[in-house]
Amino acid sequence: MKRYELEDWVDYIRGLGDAERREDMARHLADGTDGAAEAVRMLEEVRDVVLEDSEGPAESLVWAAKTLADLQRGEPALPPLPLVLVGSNVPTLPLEQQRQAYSGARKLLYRSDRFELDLWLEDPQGTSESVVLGRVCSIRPENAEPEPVTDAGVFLIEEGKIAASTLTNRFGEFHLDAAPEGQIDLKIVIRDRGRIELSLPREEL
Amino acid sequence: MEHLSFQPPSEGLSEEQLVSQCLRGDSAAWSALVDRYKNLVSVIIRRSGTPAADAADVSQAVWIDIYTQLAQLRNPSSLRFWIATITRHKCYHWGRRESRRRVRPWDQRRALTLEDPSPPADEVLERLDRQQEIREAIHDLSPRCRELLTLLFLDDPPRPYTEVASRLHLAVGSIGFLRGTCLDRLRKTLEDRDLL
Repeated sequence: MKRYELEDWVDYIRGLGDAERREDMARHLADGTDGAAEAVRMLEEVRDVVLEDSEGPAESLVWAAKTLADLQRGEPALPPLPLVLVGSNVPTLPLEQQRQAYSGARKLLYRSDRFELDLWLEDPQGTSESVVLGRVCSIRPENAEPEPVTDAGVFLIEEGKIAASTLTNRFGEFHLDAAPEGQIDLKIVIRDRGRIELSLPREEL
Repeated sequence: MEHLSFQPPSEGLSEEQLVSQCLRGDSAAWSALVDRYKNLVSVIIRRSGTPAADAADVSQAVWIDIYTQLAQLRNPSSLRFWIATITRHKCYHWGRRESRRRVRPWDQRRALTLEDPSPPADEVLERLDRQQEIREAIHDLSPRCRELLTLLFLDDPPRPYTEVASRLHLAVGSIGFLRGTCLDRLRKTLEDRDLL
């Protein structure tokens, strides 16, 4: 009986070779005499890994995962992007009156000379979780529509630790659940550009 | 002239070394850990049936757990097993949370299927562990061999050897030599890891 090499078995599992040769190889496999079945099984496992890994994670996800360590240690490599609060729907009333007068979503708009952050904070009734929605855009000159910032890393910090994280979508939007009671700390990292850091004590919202 | 190739210092570290360096706050080690296990995490999330729209958030949540809980890992040599477990748990709990949020129409056919078709957890984890070992064995090959394997196995229908040679900037007559060399190396690295 002909002995087949590893190269031959690669072609076999790729579906190459004429019918006669493939039939002979199939018989050879069925005999199970010289470890061919083991080699084929291994090559099939290699093929499966290659196929699955060809659909690996998006590069932006890998970047965001790697960013965790620097952020957690407070050593972000990118410069800060200072933003100023330019708009809010929260009435300027004493705190008690604010709570009575306003119980819906709170909207805040921050801006720098290059970026804009639109924030929407909600405390849905009947749940202990808050919802933080936002949109990050870069400002373009001459009153052009702001351009959404895609794949910015958004990190929610709770008691000094990263509690949740997401990436902005193609519209520059993000959504985070389970914002902690008390202060909301957000860090938004815009790749190759800089980072936005915001602390939002609830009593000031 | 000696051929020099750049290799980041964290490449090729054992799992124990990788964990130890990550815990000391070495960013390069954390990046190497992410690179080594990113496909394992991605594959588990994909297989779990997590909707594509949620996959990025699940992935981020997994990496946060891995980072924040790494100090609790008692046996660093079981790192990949531990990462696979964290990822599976995260997918499971994410799915449960999402299903509680969404009101779904009653699916009688599904309700009648009482048996859980998925294999036992131990079996799944062992398979994932073996696949990660194969993944690392492939990674140990030269970039040239990794590219060749990808070209050989990726396409359905299979890419003809003339085209493989062209993609690798090789004469067609040289493809057999490179294929033989790469398969020998693959066999050797699999044997070294007791996979063959």
